[in-house]
Amino acid sequence: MAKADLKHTAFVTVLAAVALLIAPSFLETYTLTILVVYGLLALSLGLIWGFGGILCFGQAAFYGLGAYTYAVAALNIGESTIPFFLGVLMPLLFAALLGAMMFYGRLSDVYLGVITLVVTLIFFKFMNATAGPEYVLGTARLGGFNGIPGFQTLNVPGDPDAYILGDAFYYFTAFVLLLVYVFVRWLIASPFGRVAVGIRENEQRIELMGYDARLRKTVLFAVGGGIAGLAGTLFASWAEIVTPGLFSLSQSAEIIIWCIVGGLGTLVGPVIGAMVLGYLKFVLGQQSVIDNTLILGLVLILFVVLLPRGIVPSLGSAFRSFQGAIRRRSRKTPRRRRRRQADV
Amino acid sequence: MSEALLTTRNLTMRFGGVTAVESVDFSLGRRELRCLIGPNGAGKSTFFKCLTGLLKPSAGQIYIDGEETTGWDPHRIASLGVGVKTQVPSVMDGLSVRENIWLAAGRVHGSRTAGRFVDDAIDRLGLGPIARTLVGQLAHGERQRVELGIVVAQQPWLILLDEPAAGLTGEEVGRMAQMITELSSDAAIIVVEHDMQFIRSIAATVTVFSQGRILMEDHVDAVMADARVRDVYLGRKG
Repeated sequence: MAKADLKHTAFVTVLAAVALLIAPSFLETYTLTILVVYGLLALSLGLIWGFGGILCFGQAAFYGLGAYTYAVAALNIGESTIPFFLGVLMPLLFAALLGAMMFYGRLSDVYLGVITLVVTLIFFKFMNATAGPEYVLGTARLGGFNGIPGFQTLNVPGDPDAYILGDAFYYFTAFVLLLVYVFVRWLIASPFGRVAVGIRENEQRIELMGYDARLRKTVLFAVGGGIAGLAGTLFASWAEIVTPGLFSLSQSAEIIIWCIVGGLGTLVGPVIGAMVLGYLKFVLGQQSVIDNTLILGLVLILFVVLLPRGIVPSLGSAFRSFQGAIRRRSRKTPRRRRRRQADV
Repeated sequence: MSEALLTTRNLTMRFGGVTAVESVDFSLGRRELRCLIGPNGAGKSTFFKCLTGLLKPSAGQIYIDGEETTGWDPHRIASLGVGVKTQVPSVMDGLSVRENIWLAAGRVHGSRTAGRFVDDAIDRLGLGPIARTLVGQLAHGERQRVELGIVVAQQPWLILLDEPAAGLTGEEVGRMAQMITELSSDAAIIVVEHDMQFIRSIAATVTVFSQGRILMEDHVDAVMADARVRDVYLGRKG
């Protein structure tokens, strides 16, 4: 990582840590936890879409797969440590397989969108159809539309009776989010990440430089799948039940909306978008005057029309021009050529 | 044949019923500078794309430095040490000039030592003042130079340039010609070009394509004087 990157990452991480620490004085940790999980899920798409140019309509597939894997493994194993890792590993491997199929098959963006969407719907339909007693994995019944309840939630590794619940679970989830953020920043700043951004910009050029774009996209897609799976695993522990709704169309669409509203091409943007919209949904869910999805749709349209770059990039450039105005007034120095900053 | 760096045998490319390149036997020597010319639709760009791996030939073979590369993917061909400049500048608009060139240098020289080669390429192409600018904000001539910088930073031993002088101003064309002459001291170069003035200024051997086949191959002056070449350029069938 270059010095500027390191400084930036440290600054954002500390700021976010402080925000996450003081947040419980304003909101219940139970609500905050799910907002953080949404943030993590948005981060996974923010990485592959914003930095790899891969628009995946089915990030919910990896999210749901992570949740289901955790639930099934936790029912079979009991202690939560191995299920936790399986909840990340399984979606990662599945994403690698799906990604390899799509990228080595040289599918164009439109087909990629269609396939990822259809895969999610297949999961949704399949999980809904598993109500019968014949759908059993070990001791875990998949349960159809009722989902899987009653599995072991997250515990202190090695001690199945020491549950991580409530405030402790919130702080754990927040810590995971920060950890993943730092990891993703590192990944983007690494040569691998820089080539990924090159692929987003011009895949043919990257190939003509001698890089295997297919392999790199597959790896990036798998990492995104793993992070979404991690979010799903945490969700399962939070909700204490997993249902086919995790694979639903609205869940898939929401993740994309979070990224657009928060700001694509940044990492903080999708996380903030997810938390803001997630909270909005939570608040709207407590009233019955107006339909929830109607408002979310309106928010999306307003953003696409008025703030197409999203919250964070718009705030960033507003802040920079404000800074520039102050500098000009105080020193009257010539303004330097401004670079578009796409790496918040 | 043993001296040839690049050869094609019977190279054929069909698109449905149309044969764009038909049984082309082509050979390029080490450190040779060669121009491909021909009227629109003569097959030179298709031939070029077969060499770079962007198209997979329907029949025939391609050998680069003794290795058969027929049907290889572009990244495999590039990683042999082949630098490619495409017809429309293929650059990364959202990244700075420096980052564009760094990505090229990083693949060949590794990320630790790439910086040196990036500085060198930026110097050679006079990109210093715009090194931190986003490529998307640059004028066409500058983008052409950035793409050439990408090729130079890879230090290739075979360079394929598709219309490097297209859309350049007179002064820029002169600089491009000088650059290509300089590069040809360490690498074999194939240039696809329309601009005869430009080809004259780099004084190369010319291969003329017509209707998917090689019409003739000679020094630029002999080619210019040839009646058949003038005919195909004017669209007459001889």
